[in-house]
Amino acid sequence: MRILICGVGGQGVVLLTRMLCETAIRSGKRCLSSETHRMSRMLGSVNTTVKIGDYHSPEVDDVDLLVGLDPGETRNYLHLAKGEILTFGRVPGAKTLRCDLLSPNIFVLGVLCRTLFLPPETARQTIREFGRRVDDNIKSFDAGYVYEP
Amino acid sequence: MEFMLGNEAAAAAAHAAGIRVATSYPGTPSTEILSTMMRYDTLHCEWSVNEKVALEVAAAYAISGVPSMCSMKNVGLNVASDALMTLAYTGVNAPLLIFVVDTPNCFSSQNEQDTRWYGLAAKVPVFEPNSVEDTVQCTYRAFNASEKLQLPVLIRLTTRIAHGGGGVDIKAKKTGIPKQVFVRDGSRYVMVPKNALVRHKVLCERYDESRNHIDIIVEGTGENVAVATGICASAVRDTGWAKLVEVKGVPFDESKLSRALRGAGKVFVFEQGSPIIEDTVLRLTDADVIGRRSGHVRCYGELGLSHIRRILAGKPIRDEKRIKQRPPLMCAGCPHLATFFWLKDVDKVFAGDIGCYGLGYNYGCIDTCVCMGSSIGLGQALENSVVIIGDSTFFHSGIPGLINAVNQGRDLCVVIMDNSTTAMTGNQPVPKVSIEAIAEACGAKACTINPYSKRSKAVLDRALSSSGVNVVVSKAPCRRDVKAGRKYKITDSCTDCGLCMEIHCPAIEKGRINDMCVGCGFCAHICPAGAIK
Repeated sequence: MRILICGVGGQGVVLLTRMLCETAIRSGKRCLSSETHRMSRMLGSVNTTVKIGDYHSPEVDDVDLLVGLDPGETRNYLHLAKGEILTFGRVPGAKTLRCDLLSPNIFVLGVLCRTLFLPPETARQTIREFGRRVDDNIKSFDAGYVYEP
Repeated sequence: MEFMLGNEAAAAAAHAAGIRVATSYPGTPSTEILSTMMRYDTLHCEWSVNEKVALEVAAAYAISGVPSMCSMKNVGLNVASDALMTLAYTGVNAPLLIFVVDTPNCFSSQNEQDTRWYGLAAKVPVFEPNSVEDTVQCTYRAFNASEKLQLPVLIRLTTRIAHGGGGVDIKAKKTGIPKQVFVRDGSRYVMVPKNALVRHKVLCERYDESRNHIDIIVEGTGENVAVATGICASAVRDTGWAKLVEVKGVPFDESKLSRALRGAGKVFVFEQGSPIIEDTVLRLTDADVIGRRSGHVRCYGELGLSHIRRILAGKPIRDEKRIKQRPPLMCAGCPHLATFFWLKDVDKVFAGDIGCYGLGYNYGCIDTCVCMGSSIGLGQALENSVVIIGDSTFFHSGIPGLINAVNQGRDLCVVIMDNSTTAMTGNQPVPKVSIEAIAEACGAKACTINPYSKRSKAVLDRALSSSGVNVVVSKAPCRRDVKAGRKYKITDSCTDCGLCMEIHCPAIEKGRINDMCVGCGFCAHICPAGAIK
């Protein structure tokens, strides 16, 4: 499973990626990731790749799942998408995510956990160990886990 | 099995191997190596003032018997290279690992230089891992090589590995901290010409021996061979190519590679950066060699998985689809925005530097940015210019340029944007040394302004029109180090003059202030109608 997650600096793309990978590794899967960010402190483009399964390189040439935290960024990578597209905002051909909770990135973690058949309790444990805003994050995660795009 | 970034894995493995001293100057994408090391039990860790000092400090410990490491980004090694070239002659008595992260595709650096050239120039081995997992193994091997050869060794990571993540297992932690002992031996540590020549001979022997420490891994069989190193080897594995020869660094045992290439029809060579292994392959085989020299691989940019797939399939590679990257902005309330606001009508060439204020380019207020400290070097000789440099960059390599400007009798205004931190890489500490005192000791006139104050404009204007070298320290803490205050609002008395928009604060939109506001109050302070409360 090859995934590309995109967004802009400040949305939590890197944290989402980290938590997704930690959850995957803890549940016994092989998982690789890569982050490329320029000086993305504020609102600059950020994208990460995640590959779950028997891979060696974290790079992707096309992806089975495209996840966008920002519709403008999602549109940039449509040419790579060979499977499902999940995004905030409206993008042609994509399933729209909607979340008004505090942590949209952790909400997406919930959506991805279900899509990728990762055990939700492992993800919750990862969130608890992260230790910041645990209650809000668990709430966002649970909302994502049951979300029907 | 634990998930780690390549940088974290490098530090964890180095510590597990026995490294007890770590130094660095922050630089994306290498910063996390030292910040991870700082979590472990060590003898000494430091953010040094620049990479050269970092390497010298680490080397002093390694010469004194304490396993040490130093980490930096690719361009950092330019600064540290002066020390490296001769430390190879002196050698070390305990392992000295130098982690350097290259950035093919310029993801976060000003160039795409290939660190392996430094290994070749200094005659020290360069290890090149192919993944996060392999970074651990390479670090162990590099540690052993450094110990046996008594040489500093380089470990070259690239962005995809340093900022890549994967599952790693780190075991067999060594404990304890060796005692630091320096044994006087002028013939080794005083590199005057007569000693240096002798040591160079020793180095040549050790360098030749280092070939035995760099592995060559042959996988599969097939007529057409893919030779790869680093992340490219992982990409070749993902394409499922029948025969792969992975070279784990430079220098390597050429006879071994020659054997692996025997009978090959075509040889593909995939490496990030320069055709270093490729040139050796060209010497060793009569087969067709597909790579940079044959024009199949671009001599710039990242050699990615999609390129490798296309080249192996015999298709020409194309430049990536140009993706509209959104430029990063300065944070809401950033003191740099306030300083730039006072400088916005100044008709001069803005010689900029490396740091958050370099983002001023996205607002059209930086005209040059080359390397650390270059703002003062270039700025003093560019016609009608003003220098913009940050505090950390000034300490790193701005001071010699300032002394030079004074010594040459230049008229120059140097604005030092002092936010008391190395902000761009994640707020690492800077020396607690008075910049004003340094500037005055260099023979410049120095004054301090608060960028958020209206009085700043007059002070800047005076410095810009005065003769001699004038240093203006624009001092206010990075907003990431300050608690956010109350959010401001635009009230009905707004006359729509648009002045607040010229701050370029991401919190200010037309007619309103959004949630990003951190309450610096600068817009309220300058609003002519007093409409921002």
